[in-house]
Amino acid sequence: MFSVIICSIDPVKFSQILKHYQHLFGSEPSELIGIHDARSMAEGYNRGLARARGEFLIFCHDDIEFISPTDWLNRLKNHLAKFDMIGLAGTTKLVHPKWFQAGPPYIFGQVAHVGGIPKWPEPYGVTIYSTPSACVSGIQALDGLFIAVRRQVLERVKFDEKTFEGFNCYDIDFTFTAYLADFKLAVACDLPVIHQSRGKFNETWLRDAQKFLIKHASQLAPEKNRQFHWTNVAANTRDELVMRMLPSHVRSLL
Amino acid sequence: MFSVIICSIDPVKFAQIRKHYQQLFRGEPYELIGIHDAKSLSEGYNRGLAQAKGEFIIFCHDDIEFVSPGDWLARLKNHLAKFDIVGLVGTTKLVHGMWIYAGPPYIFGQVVHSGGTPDWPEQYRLEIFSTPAAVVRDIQAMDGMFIAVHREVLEKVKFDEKTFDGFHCYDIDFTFSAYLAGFKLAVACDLPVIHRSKGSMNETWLNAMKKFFVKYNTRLARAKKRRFAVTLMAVETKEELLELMLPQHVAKGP
Repeated sequence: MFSVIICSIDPVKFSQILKHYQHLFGSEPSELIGIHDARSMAEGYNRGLARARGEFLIFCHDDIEFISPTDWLNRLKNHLAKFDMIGLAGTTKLVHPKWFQAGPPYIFGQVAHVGGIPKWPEPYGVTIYSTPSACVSGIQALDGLFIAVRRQVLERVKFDEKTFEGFNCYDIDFTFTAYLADFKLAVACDLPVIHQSRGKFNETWLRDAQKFLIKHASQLAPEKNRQFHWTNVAANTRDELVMRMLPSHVRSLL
Repeated sequence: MFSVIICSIDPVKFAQIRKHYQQLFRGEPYELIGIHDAKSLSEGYNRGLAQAKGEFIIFCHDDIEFVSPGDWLARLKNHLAKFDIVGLVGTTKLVHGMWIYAGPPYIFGQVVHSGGTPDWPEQYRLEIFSTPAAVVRDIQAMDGMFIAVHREVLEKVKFDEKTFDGFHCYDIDFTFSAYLAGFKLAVACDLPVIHRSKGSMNETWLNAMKKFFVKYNTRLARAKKRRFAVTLMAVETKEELLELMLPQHVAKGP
């Protein structure tokens, strides 16, 4: 069984994501646990976890949508049969509390955004960090927009609500801690997703990033301050997004 | 045996590339044919081909340099054992006389250009179109900076010197013709290269594009034009280039 845990303070978004997961799971047994008064993401997720009964736990934002829903469950199960933790974007070399700071060729996955690429007129856009195949192994940390986890991981690793009292860095801390505890993390490239919001790297982020560094600095790979741009592609429709995000080398055989 | 055919009007560049191939081939039998008065690249390559004795023919520019010369030959031979034509950057979906116009996820390979200019102060500008593995199959057209070809291809497909009488589009025409004739094209991602020049777009380029459309109008994939940006990295040393261009999933071989 799957337990989906979502922190949401927006009833409209919450009812949308609830409906979306009903569609994604179909007849597959699942429960959705909403936390509507989380003091922090870490606290909310730990609280949801205490109630969850599933063998697989999903922690995700309330503003995502998978755009290839019919094959979503099979692909996800397929990945969870091989890995302890699956995300949609992450790195094989964590150098910084921003997971993508190492740059190519160490960053993997892809995420589409509503509103497109900043300054481009098209309504949609996808950022492709790198999608060499359906699933990328050797991952050290994952973005928290969607993380699917086997229960056994959570018996050893929890969200650190003591250190991360806000809404940032809880994901990098959780996934990196699991990586350090020898769990197998992977990025799924074949679960195309649209995210309505983008990460904000503001003052609050900076505070959490400092805490992250105090906790993990000695475990991070050395950082080279290299300028880079990642791959962006614009799209006019969702169908175009699906086409761009699932070329034949990314689509796994089911 | 390999025959390398190079059109060059610059004695300094020609001496450099000649020396570079000596290093690349070491004990392997090969010949290098210089054409120093080509009327067009097509004409020059066809003339060189008439003299060439090799089983494998390489057509390349005089201003490229492979960054990992020690394993270059073994990797190239490996690819040529499986494919009829091997290049360094190209597309699985040709929509235009410019191979890159289909955008991600249909464009593959990687190339380094020189920096050290006001808008790119770092030494190198690494462009990664997509490098999912050591080699990418199902390619329809490739850039002409370097193309390695089985002789049998050249018995059926030649450079079209009647149509492309300049220095543009000869490469897309040649590789796409070979693709349409049923030959197997591939992009090698594990032969990191520095290309010292970039294509220029001017009136003669536009003319070549027109001729290309007239010749292939019905054979090109239909595609809507969408904005895209490819992965770019600022790099200072060749050692860094090797690290960034040959990550594990690219270097490990097909």
